[in-house]
Amino acid sequence: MMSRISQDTGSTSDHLIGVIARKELLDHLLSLKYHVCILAMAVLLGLSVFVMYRDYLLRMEIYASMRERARPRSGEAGVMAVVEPRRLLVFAEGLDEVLTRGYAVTAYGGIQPHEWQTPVARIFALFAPPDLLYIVKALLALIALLFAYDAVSGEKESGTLKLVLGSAISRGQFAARKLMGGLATVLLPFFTLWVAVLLVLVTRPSLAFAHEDLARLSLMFLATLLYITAFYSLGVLVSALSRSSAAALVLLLFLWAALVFAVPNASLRSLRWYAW
Amino acid sequence: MDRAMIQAINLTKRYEDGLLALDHVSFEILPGEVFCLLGANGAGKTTTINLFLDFIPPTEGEARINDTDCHLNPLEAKKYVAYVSENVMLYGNFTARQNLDFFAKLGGKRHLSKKDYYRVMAEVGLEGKAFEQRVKEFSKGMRQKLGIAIAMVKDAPAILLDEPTSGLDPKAGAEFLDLLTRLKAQGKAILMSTHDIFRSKEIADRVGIMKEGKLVMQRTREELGHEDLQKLYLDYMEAGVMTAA
Repeated sequence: MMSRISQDTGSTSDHLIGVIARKELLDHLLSLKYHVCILAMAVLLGLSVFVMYRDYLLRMEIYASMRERARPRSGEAGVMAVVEPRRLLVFAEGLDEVLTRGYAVTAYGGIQPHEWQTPVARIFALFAPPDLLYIVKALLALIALLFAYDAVSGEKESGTLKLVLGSAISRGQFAARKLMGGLATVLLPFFTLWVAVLLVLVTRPSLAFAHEDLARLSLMFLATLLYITAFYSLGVLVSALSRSSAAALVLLLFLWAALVFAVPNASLRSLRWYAW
Repeated sequence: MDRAMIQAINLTKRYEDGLLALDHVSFEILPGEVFCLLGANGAGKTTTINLFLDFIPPTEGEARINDTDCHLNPLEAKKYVAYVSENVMLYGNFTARQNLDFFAKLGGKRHLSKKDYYRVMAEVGLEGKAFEQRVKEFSKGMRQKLGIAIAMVKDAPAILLDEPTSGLDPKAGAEFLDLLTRLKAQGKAILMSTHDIFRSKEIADRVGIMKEGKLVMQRTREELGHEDLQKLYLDYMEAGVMTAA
């Protein structure tokens, strides 16, 4: 037996990439945490697109009524421009909420928001819009950290880290492969769900995506990939430097709250204060 | 004469806080030889093993496996060594076979079949029903056996065992010694740190006693003869520190 085994080939760097990344993926797939997170992701993504799609239809109704009213009538000076809601707001509201829908264009007055301006009725007027952008920014970043917090410290605590590093693999290679496996665990189901939702939306006659929309969507995919990679890397770094998984989790939750909510809001307020 | 497979040359480790964990320790282990390191907690046994695995860098001296410096060329040195820790925890969500498969592939064994894994697990004394059982349901003895199976499947010429018998019941301990005897017969060089004087006397070709980071005694099985190893150990523990010749 042993002589037969000893004839096998030695390890190579490329081969180890797959071994550790696959192990990481399988380890997560077998955990309860994974199934809970995927379920939450699917429910929220579905709800988000449903709510945002209804919002888009409402905006389109308002847009249609404004266009009707904006037709030039006798005795009125100037023209009126009406901005069409963007189709991609079903994924990311962006500036659509603050964008003025109708503009009056006059020879002397220039371009001004029109007095017919109708505010869009919002279900979530008091909260952040529950769009995909928010899900990625807050929920997916949190899920990434929940998968990464024990990536290294968990192995340290269970004693498997010593066994793995007792093999011909460096610490850097190990961390990099853990990162790849963990990212695949978080991003593959998310992108799959996203594509599934997109396919459903494409069938809606009111939402005819153009080529430029798909190009923008590709950019959103790329930005999500980079954003989540940054958060997962932060999680692995904190996990590697922490004495225990519990300490890593506490620190990462603090960093998540700071980076996702506190820092952007504080920056915006500071900027407004400075500009004022 | 055989070349030493595991070699410590003036191995010294001083931590940043000034603690001298290992003080000019030297020994060598030939293929087919078992060297048992005895000593109290904190004597430097685990530090010695950690230096061979390059988990920590030496302050002075060299740890060599198959004539490769473990600190200067750790990835090359670790190709020739298998390691079994005191508490083999492994991946609890994986079955025994999945754990074995992962560590075998990590050790470069890519083309082993399910049958090969089953054969090795049977060799170490795991029962058939445990092969596809999740490791989190294993007893300590079963995990220890699986740890040895991992070391066996890597088929490395050097094996480092860090207190492998601690917490094992007498039957599991006896089975473990039986396994070590078979590995020794296959020509493996084995370094085992342990508190277990009786099992050491049974299996070791050479025994070393460590105290406060120094290797204070080193004797072969022949030199020990009929001497009472327990008495010898206690004498050294009570005496002042002197380095072994």
